[in-house]
Amino acid sequence: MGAQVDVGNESTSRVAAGATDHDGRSGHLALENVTKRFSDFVAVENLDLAIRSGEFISLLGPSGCGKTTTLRMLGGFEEPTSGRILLDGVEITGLPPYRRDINTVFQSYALFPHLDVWENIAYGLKRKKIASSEINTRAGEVVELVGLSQFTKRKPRELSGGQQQRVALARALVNRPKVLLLDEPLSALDVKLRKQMQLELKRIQRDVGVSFVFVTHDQEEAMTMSDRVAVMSKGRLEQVGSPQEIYSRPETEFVATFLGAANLLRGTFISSSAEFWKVKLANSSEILVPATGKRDGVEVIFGVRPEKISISKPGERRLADTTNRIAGRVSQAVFFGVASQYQVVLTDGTEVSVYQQNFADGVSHVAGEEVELCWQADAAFTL
Amino acid sequence: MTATAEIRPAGRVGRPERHQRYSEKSKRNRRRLTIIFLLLPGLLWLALFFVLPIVTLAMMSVSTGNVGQGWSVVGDLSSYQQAFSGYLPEFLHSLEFGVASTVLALLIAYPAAYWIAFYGGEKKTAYILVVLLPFYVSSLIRTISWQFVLADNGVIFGPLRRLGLLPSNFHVLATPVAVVGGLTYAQLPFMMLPIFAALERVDPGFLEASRDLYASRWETVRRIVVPLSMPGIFAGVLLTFISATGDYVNEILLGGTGTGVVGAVIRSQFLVNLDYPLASAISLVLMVALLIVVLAYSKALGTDDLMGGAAV
Repeated sequence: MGAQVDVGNESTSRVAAGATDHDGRSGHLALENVTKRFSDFVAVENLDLAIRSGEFISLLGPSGCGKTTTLRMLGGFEEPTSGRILLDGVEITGLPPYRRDINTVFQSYALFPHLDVWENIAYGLKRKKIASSEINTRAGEVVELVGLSQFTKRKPRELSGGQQQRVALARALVNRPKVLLLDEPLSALDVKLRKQMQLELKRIQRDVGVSFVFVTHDQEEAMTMSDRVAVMSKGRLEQVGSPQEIYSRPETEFVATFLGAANLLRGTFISSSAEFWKVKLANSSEILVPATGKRDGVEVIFGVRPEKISISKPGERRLADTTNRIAGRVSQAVFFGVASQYQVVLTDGTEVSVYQQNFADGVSHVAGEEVELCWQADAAFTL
Repeated sequence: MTATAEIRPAGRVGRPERHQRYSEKSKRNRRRLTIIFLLLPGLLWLALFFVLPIVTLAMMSVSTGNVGQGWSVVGDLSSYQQAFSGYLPEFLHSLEFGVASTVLALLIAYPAAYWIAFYGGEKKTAYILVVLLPFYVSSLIRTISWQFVLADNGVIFGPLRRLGLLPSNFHVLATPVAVVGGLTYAQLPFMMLPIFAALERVDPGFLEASRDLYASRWETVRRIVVPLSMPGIFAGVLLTFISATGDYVNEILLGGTGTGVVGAVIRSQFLVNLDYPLASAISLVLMVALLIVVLAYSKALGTDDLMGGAAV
């Protein structure tokens, strides 16, 4: 373990030696108004995104949202139709992959089947005409880093999926790129191994200090690993922010629903205070929502996540001024061990879903029961 | 007791052990029979059209006699002596032409197959059909057409000669160049198809990975594509080399004095001179020579690497 940390520090300092960025490290990547068109299909549209030095950023979205195309443009495998890509302030838009200080871990790993682990890892350094003594040192370091020392003589097909994944990572990292691109590298692994590799990848990223751009369609994976998440949909960037930001303060309906369940409700604007807007729902109950969203006329769309709502018998609780309270009737109660999910129909017919931890055995409320739903006004988000 | 019976798989409950062992054995026998029946047609075919002729050939090569009075197997080795002493130049020509046309066919077929496999897109099959199209015409007709093309006063060299662009002693037809050219042309699809099949199996992702790892296009071809298409190259070279070395049609139609090949000798000894023992001896020597070359070749390439390339 000690050796691995040393390797990391050394790489970090070496990367830092070539620093060009304001925060003292390189690996700052910027996409400026990038568009990619394939004949009649727009894969990426007017994308502006700045990737900070040494950060772990995920491009998150459903398949076909343009995240992989964006990654391929960063790697040099696709040319943007328009727009610019800059690495540490230098334009790299037209450069082929082998002229960029960027390496890729491919979705299928693309390990060369006729070369063994060591030869796969040394491939890039040999092509760069690095002296063989240095190749040995550096390849030895990354092999340590990913924990594959005993497997260097194996062919890729003699390794498990997780080991192949590590080889792919080592093969890219050994070149000391400024930015590492990862195209859904964990999608071929089973759930347990995937969880383990998520933490491992995060550790390696911290150790080497290289900017990681990680493409995934799994929101949980993106939130677990990333410093920031860029959510994409239909070729456009929806929102960029820390996992907490995009989860708690989504700016669009797409982001709100893609990152887990959300109850989206509509109301009419009544008045505003410094922090909150007072909004009237269709069933004429009045509630407070954060005064952060856009407002077209009087309609306000806001959301509350199911776990932020508490469910209780009417009048059971004493409430603060900034707590919202609405009445409803349980239409369905589903028990799933650690928590229960309740579907509650409001008096105007809107359905709201609520998660509640199971404090007692089984569900606390049954279908047909009249209940009261409460949540802190600042736990909601306004779109 | 009842509990254990319930846990057991239903099918086994109560079945006597002896019966079970018997059925295992009969299953194994049945499997063995199936294998034999599946192999039988192939084995019969081999015995009838390969082993039998070779044995006959071997016996004929040590026989004496003539067509009129029949042959007797006497263990006479003079035919072999004659084969080695009298026809060494023809053997060497055959090998030279075989090697030259194989190398040429490889150099032409590989880039073409590469292009079709990686840049052919949806028209891949169409391109392969185009490559094969000339070969729907009889090989004899195609070779004779080459005579017209390459003749001193043919469609190419005729006009050039009349314009005074060629020296008077310039010839292509009736030289080794024409023979090798004809052989190369005739063998092209046999080289190209296996290489194309192997290249098509190479994941384009490997090419991208190689470019990502600082390899130029040429280095990618040399370090990744060629090693991974080795099984195709191996098969193509074998097919081409064996049939080009044994070929005589191209030599007879496109060659001249001093280009004699062993295939032509065998043909004339069998069909013109009716010296069956000599023809048989030369045939067997050619076969053994080819076998040695092929074994050396496959040893040099190493079957381990071949398998490595075929996998994944």
